[in-house]
Amino acid sequence: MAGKTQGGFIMANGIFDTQRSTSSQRGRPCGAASAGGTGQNLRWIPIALGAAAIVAGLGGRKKGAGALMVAAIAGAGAVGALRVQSARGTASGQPEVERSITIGKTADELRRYWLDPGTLPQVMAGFASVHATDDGRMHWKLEGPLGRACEWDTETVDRADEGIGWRALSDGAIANEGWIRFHPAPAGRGTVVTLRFHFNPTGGALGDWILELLGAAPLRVIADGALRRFKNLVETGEIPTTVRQPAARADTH
Amino acid sequence: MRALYWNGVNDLRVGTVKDPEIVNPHDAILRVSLSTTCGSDLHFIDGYIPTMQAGDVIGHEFMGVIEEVGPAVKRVAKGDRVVVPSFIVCGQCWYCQQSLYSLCDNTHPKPELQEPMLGGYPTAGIYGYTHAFGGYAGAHAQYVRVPFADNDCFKVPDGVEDETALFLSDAAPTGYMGADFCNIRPGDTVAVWGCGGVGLMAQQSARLMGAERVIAIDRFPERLQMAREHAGAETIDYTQVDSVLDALKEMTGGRGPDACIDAVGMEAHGTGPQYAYDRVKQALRLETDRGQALREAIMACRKGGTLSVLGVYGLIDKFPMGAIMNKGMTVRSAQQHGQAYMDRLLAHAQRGELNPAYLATHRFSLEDGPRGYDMFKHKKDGCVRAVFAP
Ligand SMILES: [Zn+2]
Ligand SMILES: [Zn+2]
Repeated sequence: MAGKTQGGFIMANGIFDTQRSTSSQRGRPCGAASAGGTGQNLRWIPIALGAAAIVAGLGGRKKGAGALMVAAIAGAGAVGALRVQSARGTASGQPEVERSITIGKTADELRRYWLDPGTLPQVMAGFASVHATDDGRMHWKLEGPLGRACEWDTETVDRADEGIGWRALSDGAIANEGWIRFHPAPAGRGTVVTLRFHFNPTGGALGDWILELLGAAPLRVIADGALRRFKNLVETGEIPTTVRQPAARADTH
Repeated sequence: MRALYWNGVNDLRVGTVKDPEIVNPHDAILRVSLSTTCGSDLHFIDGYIPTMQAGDVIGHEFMGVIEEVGPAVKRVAKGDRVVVPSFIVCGQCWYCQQSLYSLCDNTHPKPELQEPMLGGYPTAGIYGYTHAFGGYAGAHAQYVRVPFADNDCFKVPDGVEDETALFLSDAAPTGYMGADFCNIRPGDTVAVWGCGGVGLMAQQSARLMGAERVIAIDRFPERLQMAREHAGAETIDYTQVDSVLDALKEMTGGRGPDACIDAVGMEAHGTGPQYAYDRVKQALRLETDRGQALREAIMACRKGGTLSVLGVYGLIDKFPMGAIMNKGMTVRSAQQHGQAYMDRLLAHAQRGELNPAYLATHRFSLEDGPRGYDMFKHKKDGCVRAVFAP
């Protein structure tokens, strides 16, 4: 598959189109500051507000609610967004989400793509930087506001008909679990792919901070983005991007 | 390279930007030969569509010569003279397989900006047309990056001039699709609101598809003249009749047009030199003039007829749904599925049956781009389309 050769193409993609810090220390405790991340996540908020303005412009009398909803979905209000998400989560308020997309490939093909170690780093590129480690695990790094970052490792759990799951190893400060399942769509229209994400942060101040960090990127948006990038990649061999394109702006010269 | 960019509401500039580069494996870099203005550009120039960013290179109708291709490009090569439809399509997804190209699932890099407008289902990406439509750099420049070049670059046959091929990028396929939606049968009368590039192309296409009569509706004498001359249309100057509805009913023996095409959209009738005055007038038109052509087309259409909507709309109020329902009308609409029509359009152009080059009423160097848009927007000197050569 094309994935391995294209890792560099898609790192700055989607709404999280920010130059995240490239510091790659493993095991840095969650919440430790790193240089370079400050304020980066705020860069897409004006875009989110632009989307809100579209809704406001089109939404007639409901404009207030529509704009607020989009701002919340896009994460302009970090904590507020998390509360919306939590309402759909578990009873204890742990954030989780389940989203689906239909992809024009067979379940077997999709299973093979997903298990390719080159796939997850590209698919999750809008949310966290992920890379395969020598021991067959995945290392995740999530950059938050004010340069704080969180890192953890996951192992892949292939449950055959149950789909493919992953879960965080116990020594991480964040318990991240998820699975992806494949069901045939009607009349040969490909495969319905369902992705489930679940975060169970540790308690106390650290847990609150992680909830806040996740709130800045609501799980629904993360899951939709991951599924869309997976579809883009397997259907076409690439992920659409506007990275490195010309514009009369200082940051593109 | 040099490029025309949006610097703010009603503020276009030409400046030096970096050259585009191959980013994805199916990309090509095109050296632009010609590009042209489009009425839909006026929406974001005037500030009606948000999600523009200062510095965005604009322009979505263009043709040129391939300069470089990515490693996965197979069907086109350096040196090919090609025309590129405005929507970027992957050619692989379910929508592309159904020839619903502007609905492609795989070419919008920022769908979350557009989904709220469209119920959660984004369109394909477009060149130089706001970040809600993908945020791709546009083609009013010396070079442009074309993703999925194998699906989106169409070789122009010898004998078809650059200026003809240019309009096969958007105006011609949009108009052609609008006529195709009408399912024209012998004896049919097709009425077309608007004699801009798209309207004129819709009129000519309706003729090519066998319409017995085409009736064109506009207010600019030079455009109505083009409709008569190039599309063999009968014309109605709506400022000169009491009722377009009555005129159409009388012209069709009391029966009404079999199909009505709205090629007006939001960009209609930009007038007024003062910026503030302009904004106020245009804002008012959101609720009045802008819906007028569409409502009129619905009311004028015969029972069981077809309404084909090519004009670009956001929301419209006072929409006569009762007329659509009780008259048993069919409504068709889309952004252009250009890739579906390109082979037919190139063949028409090669045989001389469709020559849209006459739309290029005014030519400018790219450096004069802002002046070109000003003439186009205000329809100065009978400007139908301003064409730029880098
Ligand atoms: Zn156009
Ligand atoms: Zn497609």
